[in-house]
Amino acid sequence: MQQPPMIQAQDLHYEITNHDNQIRILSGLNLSVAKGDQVAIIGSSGSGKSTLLSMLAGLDIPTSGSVQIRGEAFSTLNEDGRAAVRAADMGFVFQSFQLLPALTALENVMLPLQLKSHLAAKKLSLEALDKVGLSHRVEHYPKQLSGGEQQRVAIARAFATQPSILFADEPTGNLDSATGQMIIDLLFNMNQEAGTTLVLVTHDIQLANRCKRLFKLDGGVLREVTQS
Amino acid sequence: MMLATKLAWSQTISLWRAGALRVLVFALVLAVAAITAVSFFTQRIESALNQQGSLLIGGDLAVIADHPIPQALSEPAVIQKIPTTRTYEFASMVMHAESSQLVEIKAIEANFPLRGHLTIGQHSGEVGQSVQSAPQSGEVWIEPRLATLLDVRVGDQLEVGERSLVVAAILLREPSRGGNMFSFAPRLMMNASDLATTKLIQYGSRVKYQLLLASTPEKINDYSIQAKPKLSRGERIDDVRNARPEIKTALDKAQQFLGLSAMVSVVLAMVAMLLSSLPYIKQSLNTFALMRCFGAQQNTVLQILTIQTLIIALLSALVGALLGFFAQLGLAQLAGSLFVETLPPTSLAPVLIGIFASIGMMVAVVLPHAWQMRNLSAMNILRLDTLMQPLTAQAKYLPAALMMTLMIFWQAHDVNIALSTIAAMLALSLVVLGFVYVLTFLVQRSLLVTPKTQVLASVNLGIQGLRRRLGLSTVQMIGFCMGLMVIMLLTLIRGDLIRNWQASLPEGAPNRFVINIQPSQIAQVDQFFTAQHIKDAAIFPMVRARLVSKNKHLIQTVEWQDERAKRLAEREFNLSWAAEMQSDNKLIAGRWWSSQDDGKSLISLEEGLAKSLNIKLGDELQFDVAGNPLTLTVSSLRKVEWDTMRANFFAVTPPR
Repeated sequence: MQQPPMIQAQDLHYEITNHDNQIRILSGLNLSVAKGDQVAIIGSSGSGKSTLLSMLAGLDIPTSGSVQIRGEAFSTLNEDGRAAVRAADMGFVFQSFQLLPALTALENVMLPLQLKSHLAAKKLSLEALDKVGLSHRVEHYPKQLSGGEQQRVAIARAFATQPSILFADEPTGNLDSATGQMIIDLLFNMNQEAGTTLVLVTHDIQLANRCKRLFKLDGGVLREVTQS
Repeated sequence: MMLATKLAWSQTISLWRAGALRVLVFALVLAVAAITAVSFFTQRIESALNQQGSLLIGGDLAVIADHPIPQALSEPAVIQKIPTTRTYEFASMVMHAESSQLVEIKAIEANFPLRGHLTIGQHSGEVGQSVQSAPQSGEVWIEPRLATLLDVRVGDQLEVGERSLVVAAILLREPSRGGNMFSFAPRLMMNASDLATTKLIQYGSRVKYQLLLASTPEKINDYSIQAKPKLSRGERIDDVRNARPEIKTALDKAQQFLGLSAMVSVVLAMVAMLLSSLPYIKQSLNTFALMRCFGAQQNTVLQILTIQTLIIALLSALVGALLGFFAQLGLAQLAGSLFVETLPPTSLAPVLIGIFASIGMMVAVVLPHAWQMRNLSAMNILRLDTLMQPLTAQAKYLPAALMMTLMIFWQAHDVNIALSTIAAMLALSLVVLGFVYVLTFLVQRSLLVTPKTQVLASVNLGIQGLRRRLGLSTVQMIGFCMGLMVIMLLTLIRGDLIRNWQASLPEGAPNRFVINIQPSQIAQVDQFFTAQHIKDAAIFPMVRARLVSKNKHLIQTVEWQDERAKRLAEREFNLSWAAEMQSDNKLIAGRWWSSQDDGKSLISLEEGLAKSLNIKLGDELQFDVAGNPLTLTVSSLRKVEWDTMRANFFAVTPPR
């Protein structure tokens, strides 16, 4: 029996109202991502890349259409239902790192594990931080870390829970090119090692080209493009 | 719940370490410390007063009269089966061999005291034994002072009136003597059944008759309700609440001032909490949004917030209560002895009050944000702009404002003070609000018409920013102004209090009073003062007298509505005589007498007393002086400054 796709988006529509104007962000978008796939979504600023990512991750719900995870309804679940799926299957890397300033690097990595009541939260977090080369900075606060180091903490946090799907939203957007390159290498190496399904949103074509599949979001519609 | 507790604890520790909680917690600790310090202190004094109240009375309630207690007052106690005992107190001379001494005799029945106990022994230095009984018939107990004065030992005989009674014990402690500063003569305690045979009580004797009652609070209350309407002239009821009215009044005043200080601290702390809570709330919302993103359930997040709020409130309350405890030790050290000699230990009640106040304040600050968080979607984490929206809609400050109002009412102990404080704060808020709006409007208008320069453009940008965050800026300004206002208020009150107090004390104000100097002792006392280099020590004559009638119309207590008038009509006055009016008195009406008026039946009254008893110039007053009638005509009214610490008199006559 054929396995259902890891992520399946069907006829996704998303509209927002701003000062009585209807703005259409997504118009009938379809996407299917298989297990272990690496998918890059590119598009100009404001094209709706991050919105699409939030729909796929269940952080927001579409105006119409549906998202399924492993063939099961996802976007129609309530907030807590979607949160449960996220807790079980998903990891995130954000453009602005989203580390909590009051927590140390170790505590930041431990947070999603603690939410899952993981007994070995500390051990797994230390291992993850070791993998990203930050075992010597576990007690440092985000403000004591460089941008590259902060994003490495965020990557360690994303992989520590061993997610099936990793969503990365402009992971190099706030970094210089050399640091960005290092982060990308790290992200792809860890992804390969863990066999995670990767959905990456970027406007950096070089970064997008490292993924197996490349989609372009334009005018609210998603189009798969041949690798350049 | 375990998960939520664990996460709440680790989040709180992290927030504390990162410094996001410090100002908030400091403000909360300060508020709790202020509230608990005042509460600890006043509660200790109150419990001391209540404990002492019963002991001082020797029962739960005392009916006191200057004549035998009428049946109308004793009967309700008999009907309600309330245990009672009677006492008779008066001054008299006792003799031993060739020596005699004025003593305060207290004749008691076998079951005295109904509450507390007496301590008796064989010698003055010993610990003695507690007894709850009277001396046997034919025996007396005497204070060590009397034993020394008359050189009497246990077993010796004393002449008491027409009886010879045996000294059976030394009276080492009598709680009911503790609070009476006019206990100038030593105590002699005897059995009431011997009273008649001593023949000490005769027509005109000044005796304090007491009927003591002890029972459940309900029965005592019932009795009090029944007996009060039956009280007539020279009769009154004392209970534990008014056993020591002078201390109760002082305590009320102290409680009010300390309450005001605590109120100021609470207002300041709440303003500080509100302003300092914004970074904490913003960080908490970020944390919770991220938690939602990582899959935390809404309930988990709300539980974490609730537990975190409780942890902060409880820990701050405990630290605050500890500080409050030490602060009250200081207060007790400084001022406790002004009220009672020894304060009982503290109870835990103020800690509970501190915990409730702390939780209340924390909830008032956090609740609106928790309400907002209900609708927080995980999407907020990806859209930073949503999170950045100012958390300052005025409605969010409503719970804090309500809490502050409650705290003000609670701590001010006076509706008028609380209302004026709140009105002042509202007025201040409106003024600041108007000021901010007018300022931003005017500056913007003037910038529009003024040619733009680099500096003006920057100012304009600043004003635009202020206008964009007008709500938050206004709240911050109101908060700072309120803080300044209450600090100024306390500084002014403190300064005023000290100034008033200092101003009211004249140079060389006396701090000791010598009472009951007999005419034959005046020369010796004067010599003593001179030897001690005490100047300006004036000796005033004093005669106790009761006002009986005005213009031949008998004075009845019942005819006065005013409580003060009632008290004045009931009590005995200290009459004095003087050729010159005291320098701190001021003549309001009539004329002060000259040397030709010496020996005339004139009297000068204090204006407040005259007003309360509706006495006018020319009125004829009849006094009862130890059974002798004395008729005097009111020739002048004086204003007297009672708080100058000088001896002063309601009623003065010309010298003989």
